[in-house]
This record gives sequence, C-alpha cells and structure tokens, in this order.
Amino acid sequence: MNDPVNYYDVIGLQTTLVLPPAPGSFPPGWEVDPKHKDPNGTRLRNPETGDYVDFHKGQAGKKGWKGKDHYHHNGGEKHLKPGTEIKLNDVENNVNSCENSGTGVFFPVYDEDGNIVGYSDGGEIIDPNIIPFIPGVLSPNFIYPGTVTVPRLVWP
Amino acid sequence: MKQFEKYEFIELHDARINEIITNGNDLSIQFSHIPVYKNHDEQKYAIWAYQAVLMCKDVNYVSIRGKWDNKDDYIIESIFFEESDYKHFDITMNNLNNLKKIEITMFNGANIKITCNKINIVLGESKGIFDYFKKE
Repeated sequence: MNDPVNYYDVIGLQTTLVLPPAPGSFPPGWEVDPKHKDPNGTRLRNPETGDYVDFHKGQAGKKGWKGKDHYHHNGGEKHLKPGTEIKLNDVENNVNSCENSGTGVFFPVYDEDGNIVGYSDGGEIIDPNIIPFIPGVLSPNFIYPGTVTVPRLVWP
Repeated sequence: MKQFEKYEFIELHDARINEIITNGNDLSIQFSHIPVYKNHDEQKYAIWAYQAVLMCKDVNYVSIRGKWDNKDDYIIESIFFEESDYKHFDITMNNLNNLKKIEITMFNGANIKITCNKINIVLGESKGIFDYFKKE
C-alpha cells in the first residue's frame, strides 16, 4: 500500500514528508550526500524532487537548538523537530528548473523482459515517467527510438 | 551597528559566513546570518536573525583548512576558549570579554582556528525573529 505519510511511497506520490526521528529511517528515494562531513549530522537528498534536508544530532549539555535533534529543509534557517511534516518540491517543477543543463545522449534501459525501465546517458537511470515532463523535447506519447537526445538532467 | 544589543546567548551553530577579512594584526569574520537568542517570555526564547561581525584583535594564530560554499555551507560547531582553555559553546554578554580562541567547523568539514588577544561581536542589521526555542 502506497503511504507517503508513513515513509512508504513506491509509486512516487510523495509530496510531503514527515521528518523521521533519525536519518536511518528515511523512506526509499532519499540518499546520504557524502560531500558533507558533519560529525554530528547528515545531509540527505531526494534526487527526484531536488529537496534536501540536514539532520543535526542534538549534543548533550549544549544550549539552544545545538542541544536538540533537528532538521533544516532546503537550506532554510528554521529548525524543524523530527515529526514535522514538510512539503516537497514537485517533480515537474524540479525538472523544469534544472540549471546547468547540457546535452546528453540517453539510451533506453531494459529489464529482463524487454520492458523500458528508464533512460540513462551512462550514469544515473532516469525514471521514464519523468522524461515526458521536459518541455518541448518529448511528449507523453513519444515513441522512444534506440537513441534519444534530451537535455542532461543535473540535479541541484 | 548595535554593539550593546542585549541578548541571552549567541550560537554560531547554523551561522553563515559571508567574508573573512584581515586588517593588519586584526581579523574579522562577517556573518550574513547568526542566531541570537533573546528572552521572549517565561517559556521560550525568540531566536533573532542578525548580520554580525566577529572581531579578533591582535591575532597570533590563524588557520583555515578547506573551502566552503557561502550559499550551501554553514557553521555546525563552534568552540570558544578562555586563556585557561576553559571552553564555551556559545557567546554570552558575560563570557565575551574573556574569550581568546575560537574554533569553527563548517558543515562540509572545513575548519577555522584563531587565537587572539580579544574577541568581540558586533550585531548588525536584524532580519527579525525566525524561530523560537523552548526553555528547559
């Protein structure tokens, strides 16, 4: 059963997220950003929506928010307690607002039964449901040839 | 600049550095955002967002390791030391005069260490209350 509120969202309907008690409890689709090396915290990114959250583990004996577990959403200054519901970017707006776009040659990626499961330029496999949202390039009814050229998606 | 603005404590956690400027033996860290805790009522502090400058006078040691993106990285940890190496994790109006050393760690692991003769902080323009914190 798809249930974004309870962190389970297999069909990608997630538009809000209830911040879990700790980074280990995030739903599928959220990835740890290894570039950030906070010894008391973690940055998690959702490549599909472009959202990111920073988790700061409260440190015993410290005053203020530094002493309490909290999150920040998309670089915001407000402190969010675990259990707070945040609104995520919608996928369409995220794709349309990608900056630094270039041109990549995307190939269909097939599963064992020959079904297209996504498109890739050799890197990340992109969900085929996202491709039609790219304005002016592909339409929802586009029949994908062996090779298609679409703007490279660079996630912020 | 409101040098004598009253506050309960200033946390550099979550503060954002705009620039670090040296001038002779002095060094200043300019913050585009710094959280300043003020009494709001009996139950909670109001957290005010300020621009601020932290000034280090007569610097005798400075080390900056790593680089950071002003837009994306912010301070995750700061420790202030008195001459005796007694640690403080925030600035209050009482401890400010005794601080001689500061260590700052950015969210991406970059690190700043400064030892000097005197540390002062000057609050600039306020952007208003952006959050609250329940008193223990």
